[in-house]
Amino acid sequence: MNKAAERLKCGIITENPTFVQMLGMCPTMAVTTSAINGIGMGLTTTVILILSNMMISALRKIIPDKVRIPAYIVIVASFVTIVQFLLEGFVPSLYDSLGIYIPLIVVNCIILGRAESYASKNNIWLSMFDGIGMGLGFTVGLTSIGIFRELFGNGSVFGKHIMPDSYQPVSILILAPGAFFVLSCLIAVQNKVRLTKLKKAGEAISVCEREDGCATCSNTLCMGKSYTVESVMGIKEKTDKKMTVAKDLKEKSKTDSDKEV
Amino acid sequence: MELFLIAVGACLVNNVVLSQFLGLCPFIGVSKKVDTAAGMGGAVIFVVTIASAITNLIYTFILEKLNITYLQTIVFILVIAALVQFVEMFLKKMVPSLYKALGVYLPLITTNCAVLGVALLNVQKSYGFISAVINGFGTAVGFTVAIVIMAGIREKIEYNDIPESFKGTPIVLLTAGLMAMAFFGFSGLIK
Amino acid sequence: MSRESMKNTFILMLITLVAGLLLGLVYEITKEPIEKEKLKAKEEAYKAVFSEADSFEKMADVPDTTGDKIKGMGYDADIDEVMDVKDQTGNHIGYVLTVTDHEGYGGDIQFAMGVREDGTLNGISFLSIGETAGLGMKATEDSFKSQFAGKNVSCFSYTKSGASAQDEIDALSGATITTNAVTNGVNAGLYYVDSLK
Repeated sequence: MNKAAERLKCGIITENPTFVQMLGMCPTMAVTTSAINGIGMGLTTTVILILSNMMISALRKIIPDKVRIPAYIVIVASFVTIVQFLLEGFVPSLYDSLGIYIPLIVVNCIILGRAESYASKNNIWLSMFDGIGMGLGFTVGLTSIGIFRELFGNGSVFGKHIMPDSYQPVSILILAPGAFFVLSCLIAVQNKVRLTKLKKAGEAISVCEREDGCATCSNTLCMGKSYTVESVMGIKEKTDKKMTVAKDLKEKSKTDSDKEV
Repeated sequence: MELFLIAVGACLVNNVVLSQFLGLCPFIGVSKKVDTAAGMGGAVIFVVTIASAITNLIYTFILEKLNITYLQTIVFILVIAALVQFVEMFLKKMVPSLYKALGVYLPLITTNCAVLGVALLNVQKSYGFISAVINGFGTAVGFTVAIVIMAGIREKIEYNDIPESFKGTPIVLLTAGLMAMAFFGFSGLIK
Repeated sequence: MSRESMKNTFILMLITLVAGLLLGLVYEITKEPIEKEKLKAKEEAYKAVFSEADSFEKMADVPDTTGDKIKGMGYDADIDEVMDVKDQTGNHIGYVLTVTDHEGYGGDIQFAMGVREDGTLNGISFLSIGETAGLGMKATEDSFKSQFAGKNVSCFSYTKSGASAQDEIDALSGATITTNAVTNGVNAGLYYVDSLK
């Protein structure tokens, strides 16, 4: 039970997918034009994450290592489609406003990332809590960005006008460029916090070297932190040639990230 | 004329990265140098165009005929994954020079959400075969334009004095935001 | 093919098969609620644009709805459905149309519009719209929609400098394309109703 609680805390706070790991950026930026969309997308992803985590964990001994990525993709895609039907039938307004970003949850790297790094190695119970934690963390991230953009970009929160009438909304925040600006500032603030912390501790500054972070994400290029060619390569037979390519790429990315430091 | 409008619309007006937020990961991850960015762009153009064609054929001739269009997400993603493999093998055998140029980027494309996104959008807009291919091609060219411009800017700002906390991803996102604003200018192109 | 890869292929196929069957099942189960929900949404939209109506009946013999006539007027719009509106006593009191305009910025815009027998536009209500959030999406707000309601004109036009006449609509700021699409769709509908008489 303790371990389960720890998974929750890990997902929501210490390894928050949006703010700390920066996974799943496409939906984060695309749907956060309003708070309600953010929360809807977050919860939809959470449900799929829980289901796919549990299923993959249950099948972890059956799925052969070599074909695991396509197997995961099939499982995730089925759950996404099921959830899509349910939304269309029972929450049509959300279905309309999320549109094409619902089927695109399939390629959201949070889901495949968790499958690869957690669910394939742990039991169903813990995988479920991992899913709940990560999902809620994602929801919190999306909702807070949504609230911010809707409040300043439209003067409302959850569709209710709360800014005084004299406030002229900064519409650009709701438009595409606003998504980039808000996220940029958010990461900068976070960097600032981290930098001051690290300076205080007198430690060297390191960029994302967590093992279960981006490195195992099969979306490979998450925010340029690290290449995970191996996980992509896992899709197919690993020929020698490709391995060397992978190695080269990995080394290259290492030097790149060193540069960034 | 209509096909031309679809291409321009997909490439500039509704740029995948800057207005639809698809394919952000490679956009930020592989935009450090112009030549790698161009390589990635080339690979994306190649795969997205073929994927648009194949998914369109599968949708019209298999899924629609059998009345199982609800399987589209699962079928499309599998087709794309397999297609990438196939393209890679084919290039390696038949066009080694092209394989050399694009090979590294090909496996990274499977999970680029722009590929699946274009396939789904083609269905949503009920494009015919030719329109779908043109739309896919235009979208991918839009991706390439965006990522190459971005890489060019990044090569320059590498030497600029940026506040400590804005280094890395934040400044890239900020630049992308400014680019998105610039691309708004294209919205007048189509009506 | 080695034995191992045979086994791998088999397991992968099995998973895909089970997933496919499961999807088919869920599809069958949710088909009905989805249809119902769509119908309900339509019905609500009809009610919203014609509140005093008692029943809506789909009119069967209506003149060509996608005809070149509408296109000839310069509107790229289709009339999807024409409903005959009756009050409690069964008298014909007007029409409700479902119009799809193809000129939107984010694709097609579909809406329902209620027109009284005397040609007064009762109101419009959107069924599907995918415009830019914060700009074109403002079309769904009452302040924009209500500009059409209760007016008896043959053709609306939009202006950016403040509406002064009956048939003028204030354009949404920064979303002229959306305004144009909605106005054209409404005009196409009005023109169509006029041709019914």
